[in-house]
Amino acid sequence: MNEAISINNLTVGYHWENGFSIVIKDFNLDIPNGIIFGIAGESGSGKSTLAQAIYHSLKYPGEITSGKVIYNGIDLLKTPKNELRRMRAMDLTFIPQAAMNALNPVKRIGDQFNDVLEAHGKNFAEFQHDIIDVLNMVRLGSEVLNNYPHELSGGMRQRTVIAMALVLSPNLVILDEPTTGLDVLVEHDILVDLKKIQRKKQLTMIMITHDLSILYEISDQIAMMYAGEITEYGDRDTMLMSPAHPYNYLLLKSIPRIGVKKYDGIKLTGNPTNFNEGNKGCQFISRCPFKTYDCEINHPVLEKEKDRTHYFRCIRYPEWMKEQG
Amino acid sequence: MSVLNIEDLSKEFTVRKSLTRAGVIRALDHVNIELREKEVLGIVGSSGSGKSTLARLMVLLYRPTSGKILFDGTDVSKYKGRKLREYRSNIQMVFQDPYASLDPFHNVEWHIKRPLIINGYTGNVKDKIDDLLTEVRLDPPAQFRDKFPHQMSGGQRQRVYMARALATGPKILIADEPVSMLDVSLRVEILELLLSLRDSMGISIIYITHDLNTVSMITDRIYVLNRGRVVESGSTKQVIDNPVEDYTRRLIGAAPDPFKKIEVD
Repeated sequence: MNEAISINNLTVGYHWENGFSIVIKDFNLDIPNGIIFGIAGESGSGKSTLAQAIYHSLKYPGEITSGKVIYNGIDLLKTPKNELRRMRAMDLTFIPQAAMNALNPVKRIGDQFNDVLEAHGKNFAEFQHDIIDVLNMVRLGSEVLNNYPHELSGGMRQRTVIAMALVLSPNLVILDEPTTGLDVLVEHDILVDLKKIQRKKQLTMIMITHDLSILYEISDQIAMMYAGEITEYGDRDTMLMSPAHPYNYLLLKSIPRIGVKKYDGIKLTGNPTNFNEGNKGCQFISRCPFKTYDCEINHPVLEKEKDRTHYFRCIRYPEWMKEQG
Repeated sequence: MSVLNIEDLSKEFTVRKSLTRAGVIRALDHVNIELREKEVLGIVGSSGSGKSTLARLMVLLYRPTSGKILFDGTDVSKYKGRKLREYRSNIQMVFQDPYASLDPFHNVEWHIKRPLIINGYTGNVKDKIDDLLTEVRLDPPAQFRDKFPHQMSGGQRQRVYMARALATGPKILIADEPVSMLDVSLRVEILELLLSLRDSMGISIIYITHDLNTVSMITDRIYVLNRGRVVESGSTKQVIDNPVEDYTRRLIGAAPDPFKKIEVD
Protein backbone atom coordinates (compact mmCIF):
# COMPACT_ATOMS: atom_id res chain seq x y z
CA MET A 1 0.00 0.00 0.00
CA ASN A 2 1.16 3.47 -0.78
CA GLU A 3 -0.31 5.42 2.09
CA ALA A 4 0.74 4.92 5.67
CA ILE A 5 -2.39 6.60 6.85
CA SER A 6 -5.18 8.38 5.12
CA ILE A 7 -7.58 10.83 6.70
CA ASN A 8 -10.95 11.33 5.04
CA ASN A 9 -13.47 14.08 5.79
CA LEU A 10 -12.44 14.29 9.40
CA THR A 11 -14.42 16.74 11.52
CA VAL A 12 -13.45 17.34 15.13
CA GLY A 13 -14.74 19.78 17.69
CA TYR A 14 -14.90 20.63 21.37
CA HIS A 15 -17.88 20.91 23.66
CA TRP A 16 -17.90 23.99 25.84
CA GLU A 17 -20.37 25.84 27.99
CA ASN A 18 -22.14 27.51 25.08
CA GLY A 19 -22.26 24.62 22.67
CA PHE A 20 -19.95 22.83 20.33
CA SER A 21 -17.12 24.40 18.37
CA ILE A 22 -15.69 22.76 15.32
CA VAL A 23 -11.93 23.08 15.18
CA ILE A 24 -11.12 20.76 12.29
CA LYS A 25 -13.54 20.64 9.42
CA ASP A 26 -13.70 18.19 6.55
CA PHE A 27 -10.03 17.38 6.77
CA ASN A 28 -8.46 15.22 4.07
CA LEU A 29 -4.88 14.08 3.93
CA ASP A 30 -2.96 11.07 2.65
CA ILE A 31 0.39 10.48 4.23
CA PRO A 32 2.75 8.36 2.12
CA ASN A 33 4.69 5.45 3.54
CA GLY A 34 8.27 5.72 4.70
CA ILE A 35 8.74 9.46 4.94
CA ILE A 36 8.86 12.17 7.55
CA PHE A 37 5.69 14.17 7.17
CA GLY A 38 5.70 17.51 8.95
CA ILE A 39 2.58 19.34 10.04
CA ALA A 40 3.08 22.98 10.95
CA GLY A 41 0.68 25.34 12.59
CA GLU A 42 0.52 28.16 15.08
CA SER A 43 -1.10 27.75 18.47
CA GLY A 44 -4.79 27.12 18.05
CA SER A 45 -4.51 25.89 14.48
CA GLY A 46 -5.77 22.46 15.53
CA LYS A 47 -2.56 20.53 14.99
CA SER A 48 -2.50 18.76 18.36
CA THR A 49 -6.20 18.01 18.07
CA LEU A 50 -5.48 16.44 14.71
CA ALA A 51 -2.76 14.24 16.19
CA GLN A 52 -5.05 13.04 18.95
CA ALA A 53 -7.86 12.41 16.47
CA ILE A 54 -5.59 10.32 14.24
CA TYR A 55 -4.53 8.24 17.21
CA HIS A 56 -8.13 8.15 18.39
CA SER A 57 -7.05 9.30 21.83
CA LEU A 58 -9.10 12.47 21.93
CA LYS A 59 -11.11 12.70 25.12
CA TYR A 60 -14.17 14.65 26.16
CA PRO A 61 -14.76 17.64 25.72
CA GLY A 62 -13.22 16.84 22.36
CA GLU A 63 -15.29 14.81 19.95
CA ILE A 64 -14.80 13.42 16.47
CA THR A 65 -18.12 13.94 14.74
CA SER A 66 -17.41 12.39 11.38
CA GLY A 67 -14.72 11.07 9.10
CA LYS A 68 -12.37 8.16 8.70
CA VAL A 69 -8.76 7.51 9.58
CA ILE A 70 -7.65 4.58 7.46
CA TYR A 71 -4.59 2.69 8.58
CA ASN A 72 -3.68 -0.56 6.85
CA GLY A 73 -7.14 -0.80 5.34
CA ILE A 74 -9.02 -0.42 8.61
CA ASP A 75 -10.75 2.63 10.03
CA LEU A 76 -9.11 3.47 13.35
CA LEU A 77 -12.14 5.47 14.44
CA LYS A 78 -14.33 2.35 14.17
CA THR A 79 -11.84 -0.08 15.66
CA PRO A 80 -12.92 -1.53 19.03
CA LYS A 81 -11.06 -0.29 22.10
CA ASN A 82 -9.22 -3.50 22.94
CA GLU A 83 -8.05 -3.91 19.38
CA LEU A 84 -6.81 -0.29 19.39
CA ARG A 85 -4.93 -0.99 22.62
CA ARG A 86 -3.21 -3.91 20.94
CA MET A 87 -2.30 -1.88 17.87
CA ARG A 88 -0.89 1.03 19.81
CA ALA A 89 2.87 0.74 20.30
CA MET A 90 2.87 -2.34 18.04
CA ASP A 91 1.65 -0.79 14.80
CA LEU A 92 1.38 2.87 15.43
CA THR A 93 2.49 5.05 18.28
CA PHE A 94 2.01 8.57 19.51
CA ILE A 95 4.47 10.63 21.49
CA PRO A 96 2.40 13.51 22.85
CA GLN A 97 3.60 16.93 23.82
CA ALA A 98 5.75 16.99 26.96
CA ALA A 99 5.79 13.20 27.04
CA MET A 100 9.06 13.26 28.93
CA ASN A 101 7.18 14.59 31.96
CA ALA A 102 4.85 11.61 31.84
CA LEU A 103 7.49 9.13 33.00
CA ASN A 104 6.59 7.60 36.32
CA PRO A 105 8.80 9.37 38.87
CA VAL A 106 8.91 6.47 41.33
CA LYS A 107 9.76 3.69 38.91
CA ARG A 108 13.06 2.84 37.30
CA ILE A 109 13.23 3.27 33.53
CA GLY A 110 13.73 -0.46 33.09
CA ASP A 111 10.50 -1.21 34.95
CA GLN A 112 8.68 1.29 32.79
CA PHE A 113 9.95 -0.48 29.69
CA ASN A 114 8.62 -3.64 31.27
CA ASP A 115 5.19 -2.03 31.69
CA VAL A 116 5.03 -1.32 27.98
CA LEU A 117 6.01 -4.88 27.12
CA GLU A 118 3.72 -6.45 29.69
CA ALA A 119 0.73 -4.52 28.40
CA HIS A 120 1.31 -6.28 25.11
CA GLY A 121 1.93 -9.68 26.61
CA LYS A 122 5.64 -9.65 25.95
CA ASN A 123 8.47 -10.74 28.11
CA PHE A 124 11.22 -8.37 29.24
CA ALA A 125 14.02 -10.92 29.00
CA GLU A 126 13.02 -11.79 25.48
CA PHE A 127 13.12 -8.17 24.42
CA GLN A 128 16.28 -7.18 26.29
CA HIS A 129 18.21 -7.08 23.07
CA ASP A 130 15.61 -4.84 21.37
CA ILE A 131 15.56 -2.48 24.33
CA ILE A 132 19.30 -1.98 24.25
CA ASP A 133 19.04 -1.58 20.51
CA VAL A 134 16.51 1.25 20.65
CA LEU A 135 18.34 2.91 23.53
CA ASN A 136 21.50 2.91 21.45
CA MET A 137 19.61 4.41 18.55
CA VAL A 138 18.78 7.40 20.70
CA ARG A 139 22.35 7.37 22.03
CA LEU A 140 21.61 6.14 25.53
CA GLY A 141 23.43 3.34 27.29
CA SER A 142 21.70 0.41 28.95
CA GLU A 143 22.62 1.88 32.36
CA VAL A 144 19.62 4.25 32.16
CA LEU A 145 17.42 1.22 32.78
CA ASN A 146 18.49 1.40 36.40
CA ASN A 147 17.88 5.12 36.71
CA TYR A 148 14.86 6.98 37.99
CA PRO A 149 13.53 9.75 35.72
CA HIS A 150 14.78 12.53 38.04
CA GLU A 151 18.33 11.28 37.59
CA LEU A 152 18.16 12.03 33.87
CA SER A 153 18.34 15.37 32.10
CA GLY A 154 15.44 16.66 30.01
CA GLY A 155 17.07 15.55 26.80
CA MET A 156 17.76 12.08 28.15
CA ARG A 157 14.17 11.74 29.34
CA GLN A 158 12.88 12.73 25.92
CA ARG A 159 15.23 10.17 24.35
CA THR A 160 13.96 7.55 26.78
CA VAL A 161 10.37 8.25 25.80
CA ILE A 162 11.24 7.99 22.12
CA ALA A 163 13.02 4.68 22.75
CA MET A 164 10.05 3.37 24.71
CA ALA A 165 7.72 4.24 21.85
CA LEU A 166 9.89 2.38 19.38
CA VAL A 167 10.64 -0.77 21.31
CA LEU A 168 7.86 -2.83 19.73
CA SER A 169 8.82 -1.62 16.23
CA PRO A 170 5.72 0.27 15.16
CA ASN A 171 5.78 1.48 11.58
CA LEU A 172 3.97 4.75 12.15
CA VAL A 173 5.14 7.24 14.75
CA ILE A 174 3.29 10.46 15.52
CA LEU A 175 5.35 13.04 17.38
CA ASP A 176 3.75 16.16 18.83
CA GLU A 177 6.32 18.87 19.55
CA PRO A 178 9.08 16.36 20.31
CA THR A 179 11.76 18.92 21.05
CA THR A 180 9.87 21.81 22.62
CA GLY A 181 11.42 22.90 25.88
CA LEU A 182 14.78 21.35 25.13
CA ASP A 183 18.04 23.13 24.73
CA VAL A 184 19.16 24.08 21.17
CA LEU A 185 22.10 21.71 21.15
CA VAL A 186 20.02 18.83 22.50
CA GLU A 187 17.19 19.62 20.12
CA HIS A 188 19.47 19.45 17.13
CA ASP A 189 20.96 16.12 18.21
CA ILE A 190 17.54 14.57 18.79
CA LEU A 191 16.33 15.71 15.37
CA VAL A 192 19.34 14.13 13.71
CA ASP A 193 18.74 10.91 15.66
CA LEU A 194 15.05 10.85 14.73
CA LYS A 195 15.87 11.18 11.07
CA LYS A 196 18.50 8.44 11.31
CA ILE A 197 16.04 6.09 12.99
CA GLN A 198 13.35 6.87 10.43
CA ARG A 199 15.69 6.15 7.52
CA LYS A 200 17.14 3.02 9.09
CA LYS A 201 13.83 1.45 10.09
CA GLN A 202 11.91 2.81 7.09
CA LEU A 203 9.19 4.13 9.38
CA THR A 204 6.61 6.75 8.66
CA MET A 205 6.95 9.69 11.00
CA ILE A 206 4.36 12.39 11.42
CA MET A 207 5.93 15.34 13.14
CA ILE A 208 3.76 18.12 14.46
CA THR A 209 5.25 21.39 15.62
CA HIS A 210 4.90 25.15 15.56
CA ASP A 211 8.60 25.53 14.89
CA LEU A 212 8.79 25.92 11.14
CA SER A 213 12.58 25.96 11.07
CA ILE A 214 13.07 22.50 12.52
CA LEU A 215 10.19 21.16 10.46
CA TYR A 216 11.84 22.27 7.25
CA GLU A 217 15.14 20.85 8.45
CA ILE A 218 13.83 17.35 9.04
CA SER A 219 10.73 16.71 6.88
CA ASP A 220 10.33 15.21 3.42
CA GLN A 221 6.83 16.56 2.98
CA ILE A 222 5.17 19.40 4.83
CA ALA A 223 1.59 20.47 5.43
CA MET A 224 0.72 23.85 6.85
CA MET A 225 -2.41 24.23 8.96
CA TYR A 226 -4.31 27.39 9.61
CA ALA A 227 -7.55 27.61 11.58
CA GLY A 228 -8.26 23.89 11.32
CA GLU A 229 -7.59 23.34 7.66
CA ILE A 230 -4.64 22.71 5.41
CA THR A 231 -3.55 25.81 3.57
CA GLU A 232 -0.77 24.19 1.61
CA TYR A 233 1.14 20.95 1.41
CA GLY A 234 3.78 19.39 -0.72
CA ASP A 235 7.39 18.31 -0.98
CA ARG A 236 9.72 20.09 1.40
CA ASP A 237 11.82 21.68 -1.35
CA THR A 238 8.81 22.89 -3.29
CA MET A 239 7.23 24.35 -0.17
CA LEU A 240 10.47 26.13 0.67
CA MET A 241 11.45 27.39 -2.75
CA SER A 242 8.08 28.19 -4.29
CA PRO A 243 5.40 28.70 -1.66
CA ALA A 244 1.95 28.96 -3.19
CA HIS A 245 0.05 30.23 -0.17
CA PRO A 246 0.82 33.67 1.27
CA TYR A 247 0.83 32.21 4.80
CA ASN A 248 3.75 29.92 4.09
CA TYR A 249 5.53 32.65 2.16
CA LEU A 250 5.11 35.24 4.92
CA LEU A 251 6.03 32.83 7.73
CA LEU A 252 9.22 31.85 5.95
CA LYS A 253 10.04 35.52 5.58
CA SER A 254 9.45 36.26 9.25
CA ILE A 255 11.68 33.52 10.68
CA PRO A 256 14.76 35.09 12.21
CA ARG A 257 17.85 33.59 10.64
CA ILE A 258 21.53 34.12 11.19
CA GLY A 259 22.80 36.73 8.81
CA VAL A 260 19.39 38.17 7.97
CA LYS A 261 19.34 41.51 9.70
CA LYS A 262 16.14 43.26 8.76
CA TYR A 263 12.88 42.27 7.21
CA ASP A 264 11.94 44.52 4.36
CA GLY A 265 8.77 44.56 2.39
CA ILE A 266 5.58 42.77 3.28
CA LYS A 267 5.50 40.80 6.51
CA LEU A 268 3.08 38.76 8.53
CA THR A 269 1.12 40.87 10.99
CA GLY A 270 -1.86 40.33 13.25
CA ASN A 271 -2.74 37.42 15.47
CA PRO A 272 -3.58 33.84 14.54
CA THR A 273 -7.19 33.47 13.48
CA ASN A 274 -9.50 31.55 15.78
CA PHE A 275 -12.00 29.00 14.66
CA ASN A 276 -15.57 30.01 14.16
CA GLU A 277 -14.79 33.58 13.41
CA GLY A 278 -17.46 33.08 10.83
CA ASN A 279 -15.40 33.75 7.74
CA LYS A 280 -17.35 32.70 4.73
CA GLY A 281 -14.32 33.15 2.57
CA CYS A 282 -10.66 32.43 3.17
CA GLN A 283 -9.64 31.80 6.80
CA PHE A 284 -6.41 33.69 6.36
CA ILE A 285 -8.10 36.82 5.05
CA SER A 286 -7.56 39.05 8.08
CA ARG A 287 -3.79 38.70 7.83
CA CYS A 288 -3.36 38.47 4.09
CA PRO A 289 -1.87 41.48 2.32
CA PHE A 290 -2.87 40.09 -1.08
CA LYS A 291 -6.59 39.68 -0.47
CA THR A 292 -9.24 40.80 -2.92
CA TYR A 293 -13.00 40.93 -2.82
CA ASP A 294 -13.24 37.37 -4.15
CA CYS A 295 -11.36 36.08 -1.10
CA GLU A 296 -14.12 37.35 1.14
CA ILE A 297 -16.95 35.47 -0.52
CA ASN A 298 -15.44 32.23 -1.74
CA HIS A 299 -13.98 29.63 0.53
CA PRO A 300 -10.97 28.40 -1.43
CA VAL A 301 -10.58 24.70 -2.12
CA LEU A 302 -7.37 22.74 -2.03
CA GLU A 303 -5.99 22.80 -5.58
CA LYS A 304 -3.15 20.80 -7.03
CA GLU A 305 -0.33 22.26 -9.02
CA LYS A 306 0.29 20.16 -12.06
CA ASP A 307 3.25 17.78 -12.28
CA ARG A 308 4.08 18.27 -8.62
CA THR A 309 3.07 17.09 -5.18
CA HIS A 310 1.94 20.54 -4.22
CA TYR A 311 -1.52 21.47 -3.02
CA PHE A 312 -2.64 24.93 -1.99
CA ARG A 313 -5.77 26.69 -0.83
CA CYS A 314 -5.55 30.13 -2.41
CA ILE A 315 -7.53 31.55 -5.27
CA ARG A 316 -5.00 34.29 -5.85
CA TYR A 317 -2.08 32.01 -6.67
CA PRO A 318 -0.02 32.71 -8.71
CA GLU A 319 -1.21 36.33 -9.11
CA TRP A 320 -0.28 37.37 -5.57
CA MET A 321 3.35 36.62 -6.23
CA LYS A 322 3.55 39.55 -8.60
CA GLU A 323 2.42 41.88 -5.82
CA GLN A 324 4.99 40.86 -3.24
CA GLY A 325 7.13 43.87 -4.20
CA MET B 1 29.84 55.09 28.49
CA SER B 2 28.88 51.97 30.31
CA VAL B 3 25.71 51.75 32.40
CA LEU B 4 26.29 48.41 34.02
CA ASN B 5 29.56 46.73 34.80
CA ILE B 6 29.76 43.19 36.07
CA GLU B 7 33.18 42.68 37.61
CA ASP B 8 34.58 39.30 38.51
CA LEU B 9 31.15 38.03 39.47
CA SER B 10 30.74 34.53 40.89
CA LYS B 11 27.72 32.74 42.22
CA GLU B 12 27.74 29.46 44.08
CA PHE B 13 24.76 27.40 45.07
CA THR B 14 24.92 24.91 47.89
CA VAL B 15 23.33 21.60 47.12
CA ARG B 16 22.78 18.95 49.71
CA LYS B 17 24.04 15.61 48.49
CA SER B 18 22.96 13.70 51.56
CA LEU B 19 21.97 14.62 55.11
CA THR B 20 25.46 15.56 56.15
CA ARG B 21 27.34 16.27 52.97
CA ALA B 22 26.89 19.50 51.11
CA GLY B 23 28.28 20.25 47.69
CA VAL B 24 28.79 23.50 45.88
CA ILE B 25 27.74 24.25 42.34
CA ARG B 26 29.52 27.16 40.76
CA ALA B 27 26.86 28.63 38.46
CA LEU B 28 28.92 31.66 37.50
CA ASP B 29 32.67 31.74 37.54
CA HIS B 30 34.43 35.12 37.53
CA VAL B 31 32.28 36.72 34.89
CA ASN B 32 33.01 40.17 33.50
CA ILE B 33 30.39 41.92 31.44
CA GLU B 34 30.01 45.50 30.33
CA LEU B 35 26.72 47.00 29.17
CA ARG B 36 27.07 50.23 27.23
CA GLU B 37 24.55 52.99 26.95
CA LYS B 38 21.72 52.46 24.42
CA GLU B 39 23.09 49.11 23.41
CA VAL B 40 21.35 45.83 22.76
CA LEU B 41 23.57 43.22 24.35
CA GLY B 42 23.11 39.53 23.77
CA ILE B 43 23.95 36.85 26.32
CA VAL B 44 23.97 33.45 24.68
CA GLY B 45 24.35 29.96 26.04
CA SER B 46 22.69 26.58 26.22
CA SER B 47 20.78 25.46 29.30
CA GLY B 48 22.91 25.29 32.40
CA SER B 49 25.32 27.90 31.10
CA GLY B 50 24.33 30.32 33.85
CA LYS B 51 22.61 32.91 31.69
CA SER B 52 19.44 33.08 33.78
CA THR B 53 21.44 33.12 37.02
CA LEU B 54 23.29 36.09 35.63
CA ALA B 55 20.02 37.89 34.89
CA ARG B 56 18.74 37.22 38.38
CA LEU B 57 21.94 38.51 39.87
CA MET B 58 21.73 41.70 37.86
CA VAL B 59 18.29 42.52 39.26
CA LEU B 60 19.48 41.29 42.68
CA LEU B 61 17.00 38.48 42.97
CA TYR B 62 20.14 36.54 43.92
CA ARG B 63 23.13 37.97 45.76
CA PRO B 64 26.59 37.34 44.34
CA THR B 65 29.03 35.08 46.18
CA SER B 66 31.83 37.39 45.14
CA GLY B 67 32.40 40.20 42.69
CA LYS B 68 30.76 43.52 41.97
CA ILE B 69 27.78 44.84 40.09
CA LEU B 70 28.48 48.45 39.20
CA PHE B 71 25.53 50.58 38.14
CA ASP B 72 26.60 54.03 36.95
CA GLY B 73 29.91 53.39 38.69
CA THR B 74 28.64 52.39 42.16
CA ASP B 75 28.51 48.88 43.54
CA VAL B 76 24.89 47.90 44.15
CA SER B 77 25.38 44.27 45.11
CA LYS B 78 24.72 44.84 48.82
CA TYR B 79 21.80 47.25 48.46
CA LYS B 80 18.79 46.76 50.70
CA GLY B 81 15.49 48.51 51.43
CA ARG B 82 14.87 51.87 49.80
CA LYS B 83 18.15 51.82 47.88
CA LEU B 84 17.35 48.41 46.46
CA ARG B 85 13.92 49.57 45.36
CA GLU B 86 15.46 52.60 43.72
CA TYR B 87 17.99 50.43 41.91
CA ARG B 88 15.33 48.03 40.74
CA SER B 89 13.28 50.83 39.26
CA ASN B 90 16.30 51.42 37.03
CA ILE B 91 16.72 47.84 35.97
CA GLN B 92 13.69 45.81 34.97
CA MET B 93 13.21 42.33 33.67
CA VAL B 94 10.90 40.59 31.20
CA PHE B 95 10.52 36.86 31.63
CA GLN B 96 10.14 33.95 29.26
CA ASP B 97 6.60 32.85 29.89
CA PRO B 98 3.94 35.53 29.37
CA TYR B 99 1.31 33.00 30.47
CA ALA B 100 2.87 32.75 33.92
CA SER B 101 4.17 36.24 34.57
CA LEU B 102 0.80 38.00 34.63
CA ASP B 103 -1.72 37.50 37.42
CA PRO B 104 -4.83 35.87 35.93
CA PHE B 105 -7.10 37.59 38.48
CA HIS B 106 -6.16 41.12 37.53
CA ASN B 107 -6.57 43.23 34.43
CA VAL B 108 -3.99 45.08 32.40
CA GLU B 109 -4.51 48.38 34.18
CA TRP B 110 -3.78 46.83 37.59
CA HIS B 111 -0.55 45.29 36.37
CA ILE B 112 0.82 48.56 35.12
CA LYS B 113 -0.54 50.69 37.96
CA ARG B 114 1.22 48.75 40.70
CA PRO B 115 4.82 49.62 39.85
CA LEU B 116 3.76 53.24 39.36
CA ILE B 117 2.23 53.44 42.83
CA ILE B 118 4.98 51.49 44.55
CA ASN B 119 7.56 53.81 43.11
CA GLY B 120 5.55 56.89 44.04
CA TYR B 121 4.59 58.15 40.61
CA THR B 122 3.23 61.68 41.00
CA GLY B 123 1.70 62.42 37.59
CA ASN B 124 -1.63 61.30 36.20
CA VAL B 125 -1.62 57.52 36.51
CA LYS B 126 -4.33 56.95 33.88
CA ASP B 127 -2.50 58.97 31.24
CA LYS B 128 0.77 57.26 32.06
CA ILE B 129 -0.84 53.84 31.60
CA ASP B 130 -2.19 54.90 28.22
CA ASP B 131 1.23 56.23 27.20
CA LEU B 132 2.90 52.98 28.18
CA LEU B 133 0.36 50.85 26.34
CA THR B 134 0.82 52.97 23.23
CA GLU B 135 4.58 52.66 23.60
CA VAL B 136 4.34 48.85 23.42
CA ARG B 137 1.89 49.11 20.48
CA LEU B 138 -1.22 48.04 22.33
CA ASP B 139 -3.18 50.62 20.44
CA PRO B 140 -5.74 51.99 21.17
CA PRO B 141 -5.07 51.66 24.93
CA ALA B 142 -8.77 51.86 25.81
CA GLN B 143 -9.27 48.53 24.10
CA PHE B 144 -6.71 46.78 26.30
CA ARG B 145 -6.87 48.54 29.68
CA ASP B 146 -9.65 46.38 31.08
CA LYS B 147 -8.63 43.07 29.54
CA PHE B 148 -7.59 40.09 31.58
CA PRO B 149 -4.58 37.96 30.65
CA HIS B 150 -6.71 35.10 29.30
CA GLN B 151 -8.37 37.45 26.84
CA MET B 152 -5.10 38.21 25.11
CA SER B 153 -2.68 36.34 22.88
CA GLY B 154 0.84 35.44 24.01
CA GLY B 155 2.31 38.34 22.07
CA GLN B 156 -0.11 40.81 23.63
CA ARG B 157 0.61 39.52 27.13
CA GLN B 158 4.31 39.90 26.57
CA ARG B 159 3.65 43.51 25.52
CA VAL B 160 1.64 44.14 28.68
CA TYR B 161 4.50 42.76 30.71
CA MET B 162 6.90 45.02 28.87
CA ALA B 163 4.69 48.04 29.59
CA ARG B 164 4.76 47.02 33.25
CA ALA B 165 8.52 46.82 33.19
CA LEU B 166 8.80 50.21 31.50
CA ALA B 167 6.48 51.86 34.04
CA THR B 168 9.31 52.56 36.46
CA GLY B 169 11.29 54.36 33.78
CA PRO B 170 14.21 51.94 33.76
CA LYS B 171 17.58 52.58 32.16
CA ILE B 172 18.12 48.88 31.58
CA LEU B 173 15.69 46.22 30.42
CA ILE B 174 16.66 42.58 30.77
CA ALA B 175 14.73 40.24 28.49
CA ASP B 176 15.20 36.58 29.38
CA GLU B 177 14.03 34.48 26.40
CA PRO B 178 11.13 36.86 25.75
CA VAL B 179 10.00 35.24 22.50
CA SER B 180 10.69 31.54 22.92
CA MET B 181 7.11 30.81 24.01
CA LEU B 182 5.53 32.79 21.19
CA ASP B 183 4.36 31.76 17.76
CA VAL B 184 6.82 32.33 14.96
CA SER B 185 4.74 35.03 13.37
CA LEU B 186 4.67 37.08 16.57
CA ARG B 187 8.36 36.85 17.42
CA VAL B 188 9.69 39.35 14.96
CA GLU B 189 7.21 41.98 16.12
CA ILE B 190 8.29 41.66 19.75
CA LEU B 191 11.95 41.82 18.79
CA GLU B 192 11.37 44.88 16.65
CA LEU B 193 9.54 46.42 19.59
CA LEU B 194 12.62 45.90 21.75
CA LEU B 195 14.72 47.73 19.18
CA SER B 196 12.27 50.59 18.90
CA LEU B 197 12.14 50.98 22.71
CA ARG B 198 15.89 51.36 22.72
CA ASP B 199 15.57 54.14 20.14
CA SER B 200 12.54 55.95 21.57
CA MET B 201 13.30 55.67 25.29
CA GLY B 202 17.06 55.46 25.14
CA ILE B 203 17.29 52.36 27.31
CA SER B 204 19.93 49.65 27.18
CA ILE B 205 18.70 46.13 26.61
CA ILE B 206 20.17 42.82 27.66
CA TYR B 207 18.74 40.04 25.55
CA ILE B 208 19.29 36.57 27.00
CA THR B 209 18.67 33.54 24.82
CA HIS B 210 19.90 30.26 23.42
CA ASP B 211 18.68 31.21 19.97
CA LEU B 212 21.43 32.59 17.79
CA ASN B 213 18.98 33.44 15.03
CA THR B 214 17.23 36.15 16.98
CA VAL B 215 20.46 37.29 18.60
CA SER B 216 21.99 37.95 15.22
CA MET B 217 18.94 39.94 14.30
CA ILE B 218 18.83 42.49 17.11
CA THR B 219 22.01 42.63 19.17
CA ASP B 220 25.08 44.83 18.77
CA ARG B 221 27.47 42.80 20.89
CA ILE B 222 27.28 39.36 22.45
CA TYR B 223 28.80 37.34 25.24
CA VAL B 224 28.78 33.57 24.92
CA LEU B 225 28.43 31.74 28.23
CA ASN B 226 29.33 28.11 28.81
CA ARG B 227 29.31 26.44 32.20
CA GLY B 228 29.32 29.73 34.02
CA ARG B 229 32.20 31.28 32.14
CA VAL B 230 32.31 33.82 29.35
CA VAL B 231 33.99 31.88 26.57
CA GLU B 232 33.69 34.41 23.80
CA SER B 233 32.61 37.99 23.33
CA GLY B 234 32.66 40.77 20.79
CA SER B 235 30.51 42.41 18.18
CA THR B 236 27.71 40.11 17.09
CA LYS B 237 28.78 40.06 13.49
CA GLN B 238 32.37 39.28 14.34
CA VAL B 239 31.50 36.44 16.73
CA ILE B 240 28.99 34.84 14.39
CA ASP B 241 31.10 35.21 11.24
CA ASN B 242 34.32 34.09 12.88
CA PRO B 243 33.60 32.06 15.98
CA VAL B 244 36.78 31.12 17.83
CA GLU B 245 35.42 28.68 20.38
CA ASP B 246 34.18 25.24 19.44
CA TYR B 247 31.17 25.77 21.71
CA THR B 248 30.11 28.87 19.78
CA ARG B 249 30.46 26.97 16.52
CA ARG B 250 28.22 24.21 17.84
CA LEU B 251 25.59 26.74 18.88
CA ILE B 252 25.67 28.29 15.42
CA GLY B 253 25.47 24.87 13.77
CA ALA B 254 22.46 23.89 15.86
CA ALA B 255 20.51 27.12 15.26
CA PRO B 256 17.34 26.10 13.45
CA ASP B 257 17.10 27.34 9.88
CA PRO B 258 14.46 26.23 7.37
CA PHE B 259 17.01 26.44 4.57
CA LYS B 260 19.23 23.88 6.26
CA LYS B 261 18.39 20.25 5.72
CA ILE B 262 19.36 17.45 8.07
CA GLU B 263 21.05 14.84 5.92
CA VAL B 264 21.74 11.35 7.15
CA ASP B 265 23.35 8.54 5.23
